[in-house]
Amino acid sequence: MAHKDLAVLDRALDNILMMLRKINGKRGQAAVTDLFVAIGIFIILVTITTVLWNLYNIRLTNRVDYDGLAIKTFQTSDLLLQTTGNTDNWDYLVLQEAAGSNEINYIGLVNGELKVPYNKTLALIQLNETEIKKIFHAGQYRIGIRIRNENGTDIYNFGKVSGTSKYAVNLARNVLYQRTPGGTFDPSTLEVIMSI
Amino acid sequence: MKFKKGIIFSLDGAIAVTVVLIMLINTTYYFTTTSKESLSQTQIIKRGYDVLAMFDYFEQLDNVMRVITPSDDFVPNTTINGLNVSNYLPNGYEMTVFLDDARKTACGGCVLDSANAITALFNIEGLNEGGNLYFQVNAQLTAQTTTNPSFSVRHNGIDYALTGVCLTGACTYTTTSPITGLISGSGNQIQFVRDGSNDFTINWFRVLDDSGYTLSTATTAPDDRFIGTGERWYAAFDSNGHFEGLHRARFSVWIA
Repeated sequence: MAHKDLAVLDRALDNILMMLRKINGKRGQAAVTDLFVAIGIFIILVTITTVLWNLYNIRLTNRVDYDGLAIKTFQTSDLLLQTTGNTDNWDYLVLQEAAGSNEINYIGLVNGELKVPYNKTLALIQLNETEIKKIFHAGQYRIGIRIRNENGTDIYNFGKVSGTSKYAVNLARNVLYQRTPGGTFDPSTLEVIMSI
Repeated sequence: MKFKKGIIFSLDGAIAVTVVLIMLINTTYYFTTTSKESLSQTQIIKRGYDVLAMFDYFEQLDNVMRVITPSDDFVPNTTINGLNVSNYLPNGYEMTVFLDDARKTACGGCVLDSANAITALFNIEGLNEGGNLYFQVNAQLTAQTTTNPSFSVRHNGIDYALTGVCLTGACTYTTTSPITGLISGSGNQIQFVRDGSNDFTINWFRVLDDSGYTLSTATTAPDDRFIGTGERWYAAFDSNGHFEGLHRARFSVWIA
């Protein structure tokens, strides 16, 4: 091979090497950019997820607290307004024999469908809220019962029916309330209020 | 080649971002929707049951059956002799009450005696579904000669036996088997056939279990929110104090 030819080949090889270096440099640059973009997106997503996770965690905890309270209020309300209690003469035992939560399995406020007699509401007051909470295993919840007449005026209050609390659930039902001993049963609204 | 790789990387990134976004949106959606608790919906239904219980206790369900006339298309919603739900429902609630088998056809001058062994043909009020349905008729025994007086109902030449419950001077009879072949619309006719020896005066009659005989209060339930429903059975008497039978009252209740 002539010296001239070798010089041409050498120049050609130099050119190829330069091109390869250029290409390698661009690829490396692209890979690094890709990495940074990926890390950026990852950080953004992790941040969003963390913030949302926190938010949902708070919401979930609140929800669990509230649901627990609501379920307990429904159970209490159903027992009070769908049963006569156990024993069913618990009001007599309270008023006449000073019975307490140890002698009563659970409390019911009605005699017949939705009919709330005077004696049962009187016995409730005599028992007091602490005893009622024991009977219903209400734990940290406060219990209140309010009865309003047809005009919306309060005619009976028991326990905590107002004031500040973190959560409160108020379940109102239509009842027939005997406001005075031996009196008539008049349409009223009975609210079972539980709060925390 | 280089161009294709770029597209693949971009697609990969776009799909990953889309999947994450879909997951986040779904999580948000379910967290939001589950907070519309079903417990409060239960409370709405309980109030509906309470209202029917109040109506029943104060005999308003029975009273309304006494005042409904054959020409009524709706149950009256007045406080006296009607079903006024706002007397018991709190503000913000709305309710429709349906009374099944409430419509009836008066049968003035329908007498079955020695001179009239078979009554003339009577039109049955418009039926929605038709088919094989039980038939009810209220009648007063005016002259009894046998121990178990009864009469029968004739439709398309077939006689259907009746069994009755008697209270306050009149009996409410129901066919012992459904009348077959009742067509929807108002093309059905009926006759009453004497038993041969006892005399009756027929007060009214109706077909059971056809929605054409269901009356409701004139409130239309919305179709874009939760509606609670329930029912209750009650005993009813007609305007003459005659036992009408047991009826079903249904309700739809919602937050207005």
